[in-house]
Amino acid sequence: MNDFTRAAVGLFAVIAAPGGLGGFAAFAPAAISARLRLVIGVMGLTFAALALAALLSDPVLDWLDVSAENFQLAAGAVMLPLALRLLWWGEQGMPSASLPFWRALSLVFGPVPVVVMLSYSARFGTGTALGAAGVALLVSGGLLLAGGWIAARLGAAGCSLLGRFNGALIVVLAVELMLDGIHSV
Amino acid sequence: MLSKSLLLSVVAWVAFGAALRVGVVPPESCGKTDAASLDAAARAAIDWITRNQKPDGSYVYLYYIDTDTVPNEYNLVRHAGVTMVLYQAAGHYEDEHILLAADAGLGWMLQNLVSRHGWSAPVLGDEDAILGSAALMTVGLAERRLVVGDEQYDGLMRELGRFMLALQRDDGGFDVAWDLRNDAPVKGQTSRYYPGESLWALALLAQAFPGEGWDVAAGKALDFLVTARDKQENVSFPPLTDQWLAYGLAEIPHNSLTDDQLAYARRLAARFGLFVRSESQRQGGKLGRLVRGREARGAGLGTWVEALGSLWRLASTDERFADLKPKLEERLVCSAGILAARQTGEDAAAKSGSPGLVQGAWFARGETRMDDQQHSISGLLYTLDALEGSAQRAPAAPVLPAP
Repeated sequence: MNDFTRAAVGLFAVIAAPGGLGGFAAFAPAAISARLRLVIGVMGLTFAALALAALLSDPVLDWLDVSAENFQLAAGAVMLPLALRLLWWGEQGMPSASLPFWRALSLVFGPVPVVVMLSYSARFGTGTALGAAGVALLVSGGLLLAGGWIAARLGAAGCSLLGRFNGALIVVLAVELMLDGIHSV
Repeated sequence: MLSKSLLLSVVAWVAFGAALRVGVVPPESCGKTDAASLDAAARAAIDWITRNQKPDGSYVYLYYIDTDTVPNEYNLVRHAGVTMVLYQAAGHYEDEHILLAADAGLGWMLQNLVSRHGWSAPVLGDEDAILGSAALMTVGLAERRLVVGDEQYDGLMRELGRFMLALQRDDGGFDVAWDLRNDAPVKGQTSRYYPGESLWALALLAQAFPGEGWDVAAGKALDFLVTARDKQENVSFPPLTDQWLAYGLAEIPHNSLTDDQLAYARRLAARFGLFVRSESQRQGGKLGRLVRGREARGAGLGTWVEALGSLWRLASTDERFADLKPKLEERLVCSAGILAARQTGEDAAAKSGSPGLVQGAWFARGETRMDDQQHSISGLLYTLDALEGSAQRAPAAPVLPAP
């Protein structure tokens, strides 16, 4: 797996759209145009925030006095609570915001993607991390758009299984990130 | 207004982040990384050794600062190592005073030399002839040869080399000593570090005397070290952090390492890098000790600097390893800076019972041993060379007349 693919898979996993499918389908507007606007808005804002994290990776790590390799250990650790939640419940927590936009945003965006983006940008380079974030968000957005359709066909058990698969993927990627930090100069 | 659940989520993340900051990623500090500080640290440590050298050429081995005592202990391998580093320092600083101290240390070993079957080795008292002592004495003589350019000890270097060959097994590894009473190799014992020391010595013999076959023995030793040593020594988390192997890797002819040997060198670089990153997070104080453990002693941290300096040289000369050069240099300078910052200075020395045994030394749990200074000096000199962009053993041509 090359750096770009590794970063794209990692960001897709921590954005955790598969684990948020059921929740998103529950409050997303039924009309496809409104749903499209919602997903584009959420993904656009998430990309902007992740891009900022990528661009600020070096200054942030300098400010923290932490090497990129040591930061990978922390990033891996930050991924684990999300992974455990998905493995245990099969879905992300239901956001409490009242407006659909903020509910959708809090499903896909939080400290975990930001920390992973900081780490990937330092590890793979800003360009690679940005490109990978774009791909991960496109795929995640498509998944959320089709969330209602997928949830209807998979049922609650299928969605839960998908969420648990998402959690397992995060565990694997977290361990890989930490091991790479340990095995780097 | 934030909802209660969002507030709880924020509080949980802040607490989690704080725990990570303390336990996983505390701030890293590299101490005094400027060249002037590293140079001053090296000079102060060299002064510690030369100031505390005895008239017979031996050195103060161990000093306890709390009781202001010098125990009556000695170690021949470490004597050879300290003498070797004095020759390195004499060449680096082109300093006749240091060269004289090194020659006094060499004289002590010459008085304790045993010769049999065409080989020679230094021996302490009624001990066996130990592989590591002969290896480091050889390295010292190779360094001396660079500094003064004379050939008066070439014969002795070859005799020491033949001692190593007499102990080398078919698999490239080594028996650890020669039993002088039974006049045979000591069987059934192994050493973690003597094989690496021997590799370095054999590689330098191959450089000094090309065409005499020393490179073949060095190659066998290197193969053993990268394929079998860690298993033989039951190393729990290989690779063994062996700076002697790193020295040897840097002296093997350029671009002649196999892919397996280079892969091992990469693992070695990563291990030393991890150690330095972890050490740079140790901030002292009770909380720091509780979370990150005690600071490494000078001899320990010094060996990491030596290894990183050697691997930096390898990265400078073998293009297949060159991608690691920037990170190696970063870790090298950081580890050397930590050394410089932890060295005991003039002020602390003045408050002690024996300032001459304190200033310029590295103490751990109240003691300093001569190899705390030895490994630290060697690492600092390699770092200074790296900062000047020099990847070769120095000096390139003799700089001092033979005493």
